[in-house]
Amino acid sequence: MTKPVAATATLILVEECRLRLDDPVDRLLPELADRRVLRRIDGPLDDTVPASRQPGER
Amino acid sequence: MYETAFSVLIARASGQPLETFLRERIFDPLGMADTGFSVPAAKLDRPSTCCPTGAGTGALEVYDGPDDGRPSVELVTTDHITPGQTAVSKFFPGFRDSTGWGFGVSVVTRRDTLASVSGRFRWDGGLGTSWYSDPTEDLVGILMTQRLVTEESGRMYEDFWTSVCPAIDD
Repeated sequence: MTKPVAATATLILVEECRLRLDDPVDRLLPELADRRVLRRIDGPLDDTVPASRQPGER
Repeated sequence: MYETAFSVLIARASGQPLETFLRERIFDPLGMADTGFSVPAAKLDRPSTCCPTGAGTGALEVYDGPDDGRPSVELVTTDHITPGQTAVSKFFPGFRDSTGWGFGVSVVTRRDTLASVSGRFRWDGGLGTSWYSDPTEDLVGILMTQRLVTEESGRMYEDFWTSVCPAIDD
């Protein structure tokens, strides 16, 4: 039952403007920058292309 | 992945270790004295067998005692899934018919059983905890079975929540 805790903690930081909901995560999570994704969901793991959008885009 | 990434994001944005931030900003203010990443030696007899008893590290995995708090944030309780996202991923068949995703947990968007009332936000944990909050009824329900979720326990959850409905005294 950790999801409500993670959501509450994140939204506390949003209220304090230390996180913004629609900012790219690259600044705080550089490990997720320059993402490559599978060309096809059932394709081989080395058949990738640059991601066309941010995670969580809405 | 989801909660590990959130754990790192929360720690970096807050400038504090995750455990410190959660304790100072959520657990202590809500009086959640038995919630944390590990169980103190003096309380080792309290968790039941399904609860993790080791020290947590990167992944957000907390030991919940009986005194849980609840988030009451509109963003958590509003469906944010777009029609485009529903088109490519339904989670499982029928899920989107009456359920949406808020920030963090699922939300009931349409009443299709006695117990699923629109506006409730909720989660069924894989280790056997079922919870929802109902802002309209000012109701919080928590069911702790301490058993891994199976098809049979899913029916038990439904029976439990159905039984809660007639217990509401208007």
